[in-house]
Amino acid sequence: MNSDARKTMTLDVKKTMTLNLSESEMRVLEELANKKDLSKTAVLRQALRLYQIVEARLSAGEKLVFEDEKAQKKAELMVL
Amino acid sequence: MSTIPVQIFSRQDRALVDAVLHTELVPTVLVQAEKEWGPIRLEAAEKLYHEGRDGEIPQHYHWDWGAKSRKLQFLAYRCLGIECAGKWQGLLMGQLSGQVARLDPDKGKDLVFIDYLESAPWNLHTIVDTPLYGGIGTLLMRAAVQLSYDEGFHGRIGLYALPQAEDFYRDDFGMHGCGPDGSNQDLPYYEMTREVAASFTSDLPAISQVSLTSNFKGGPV
Repeated sequence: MNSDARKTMTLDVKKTMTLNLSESEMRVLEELANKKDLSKTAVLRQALRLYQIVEARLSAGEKLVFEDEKAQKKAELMVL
Repeated sequence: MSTIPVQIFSRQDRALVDAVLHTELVPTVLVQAEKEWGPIRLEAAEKLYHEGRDGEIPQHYHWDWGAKSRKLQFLAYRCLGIECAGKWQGLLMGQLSGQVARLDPDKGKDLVFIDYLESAPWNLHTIVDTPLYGGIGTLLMRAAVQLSYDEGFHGRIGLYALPQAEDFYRDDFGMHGCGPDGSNQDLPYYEMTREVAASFTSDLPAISQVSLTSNFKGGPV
């Protein structure tokens, strides 16, 4: 598929913002981008999508729990 | 709502006809489509049941796009649709975050997860004797791969297949079957790797120029 085709699915108007990050924040962002093979913008976009869902479900009274099957441990993540 | 001109195959005219691929549908569209599709699906299921053809009942006969539309309040979901002759001919609900690849070498990396994909009931030979349009499922799958590229996911897509649709995903798209998933009603999970996506799309100059042929096997149920 050529690059023109790849542009066609992203016709929605995008708005630009400047984001100031500390060195450590930028380092984490770069680590995640490398690990996930994504651009830094894509990592932040994914984070926003997940945060929106987590916030909505917590607001609805649900809990966010991480489970370690091997250790048979469950831990509730507290999101403030 | 962004749109892309496409072509789908009219089985009645045996010719390609113009259609529109919508890449970001709003919830009201899904409610509207369900109002038209739902009664046809249910009627077909009842008819097949009464005729003793239980195995032919479309396994998605109970789907409700109106209910699914609530997912669109979240950024993580995107719904695509094909419109032709003033009607919705197919819909695809994709999840853009929260799901990752299970297959190497991209295990753990993001993909577009296809929550639901359906061709309008009047396009399915299991529901009507003379389906109207063909190639809907194929086109929506190609759009999902395109969306995956747009998101930086290198064409990776994943989905749970209904048993009636497994052939479609495996044979037509080369998706890898990962077996039944106990965490989701034992439905078989299928994944398209970036390698398969690359070969799948390499002969596709642009979504708007896709030509779908008359020997298309029919969309997913």
